[in-house]
Amino acid sequence: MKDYTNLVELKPNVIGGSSLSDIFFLGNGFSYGVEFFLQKRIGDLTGWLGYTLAYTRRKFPDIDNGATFPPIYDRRNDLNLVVTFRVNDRWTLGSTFVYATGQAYSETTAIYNAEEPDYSGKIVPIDGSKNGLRLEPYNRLDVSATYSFSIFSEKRNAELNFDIYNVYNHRNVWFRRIDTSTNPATSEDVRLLPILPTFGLEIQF
Amino acid sequence: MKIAIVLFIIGTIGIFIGCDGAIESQYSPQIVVEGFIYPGGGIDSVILHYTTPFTQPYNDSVYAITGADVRVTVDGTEYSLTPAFRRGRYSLPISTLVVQGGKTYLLTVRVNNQIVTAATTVPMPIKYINIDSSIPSSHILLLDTNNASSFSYTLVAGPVDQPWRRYMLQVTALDTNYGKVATNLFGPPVDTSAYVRYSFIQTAPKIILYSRLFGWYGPNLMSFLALDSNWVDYKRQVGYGQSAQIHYQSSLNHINGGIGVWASAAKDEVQVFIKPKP
Repeated sequence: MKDYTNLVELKPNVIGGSSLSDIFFLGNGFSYGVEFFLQKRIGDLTGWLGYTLAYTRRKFPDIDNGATFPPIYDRRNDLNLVVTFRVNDRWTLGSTFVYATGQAYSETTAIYNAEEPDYSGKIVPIDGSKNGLRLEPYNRLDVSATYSFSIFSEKRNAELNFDIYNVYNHRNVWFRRIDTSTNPATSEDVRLLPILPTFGLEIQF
Repeated sequence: MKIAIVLFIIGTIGIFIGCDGAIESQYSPQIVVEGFIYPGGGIDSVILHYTTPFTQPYNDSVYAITGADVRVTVDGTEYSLTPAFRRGRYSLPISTLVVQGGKTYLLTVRVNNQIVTAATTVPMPIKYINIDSSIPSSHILLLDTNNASSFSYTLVAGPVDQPWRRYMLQVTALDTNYGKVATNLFGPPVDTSAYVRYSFIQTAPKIILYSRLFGWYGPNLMSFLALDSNWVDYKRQVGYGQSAQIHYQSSLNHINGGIGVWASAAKDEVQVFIKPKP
């Protein structure tokens, strides 16, 4: 468990300032959690499992009337599973599975038309509670196959790698953006990479 | 035993991950207030409406608030505003109340059981002094679209009533028959269809006039505004053009019980004529 003091959060659209508080919100926070780690290092099947259960909160008097909120990098669950299987002297198979709680974000719940004198106005989005919503959980499985061989008559000095990133083609959400130029305003998830096979050749000399 | 421990840990992890959930943010309608007043003027229009759910199309008349009890209090006297012709607008005739600089105007809105309040202290009157000393009173400003940076004039007004006062220009094209100023001077076009443009907020009553303020050649009315702090914070939220995407920020909101703006500014005006440089 750890307490934090004098945390800062950048004030949006600051046009200037002579002190830290002119530019940043000042607040406190805390985090606590527990971590498990299991590892198998002997035999043809090796690997490890890491898991973290954590809670992180921030509290700024000037944000959401002083209510606690999670920072965007707060991860309730964070799981990493890495497995390597040595098939024989030449072939090695591997896989990595990653799971993490979705990133916290502030959801836009409403809009209003901000008018100014003689100006038709513009749509301003209003967020709900600060970082009150989560993107969908992040999860991804990568697999790989490695073939070791000799080149230039030296012993096992080269490897041919075949990797598949995101093997089940789950497009994780990077962030959510909104578009107020349409009526009604819309939101869209910007997603990360789809399935992505790669080849590699590694030569040691 | 080892297998049992491993299974227990994996099972516990599974339970935690299975409970991964979201804290939902739900729409709840909020009262939006918009009102701007100037010394020497009346209270022309206080606009009231509810926020629109994000998934719904914006429609001013649908979410306009009618039947509200809207009052302005100054010097201990309370004035009731009356509904204007357009839905959600409330006003007070200038014959009833003339806004004065240096005074604080408290706005109180009652809608059903909700009460919204806001206060603005009106800046002291300000007067236009000149645009550079070399510019004749005809105020013809030459704009060279091939060299926009050469358009460099300074507008001066005064006096300064508070050291923290912020200033802004509102530029309105009065006659679009003289043609549009080329908008590719600094990259993509910005607000090409707008007749009104606002300058950036300045810290001194000497405002640098830059070519991008002017969307049209010909006569332009420049309103020089000395802003109260509510207007400055509102401007920091809504930005400077249709393309700016800025979120509402509670720390910049000065409407108690609602959102929006209740602001004031002292202003003076000067007309200039924008002419293409031969």
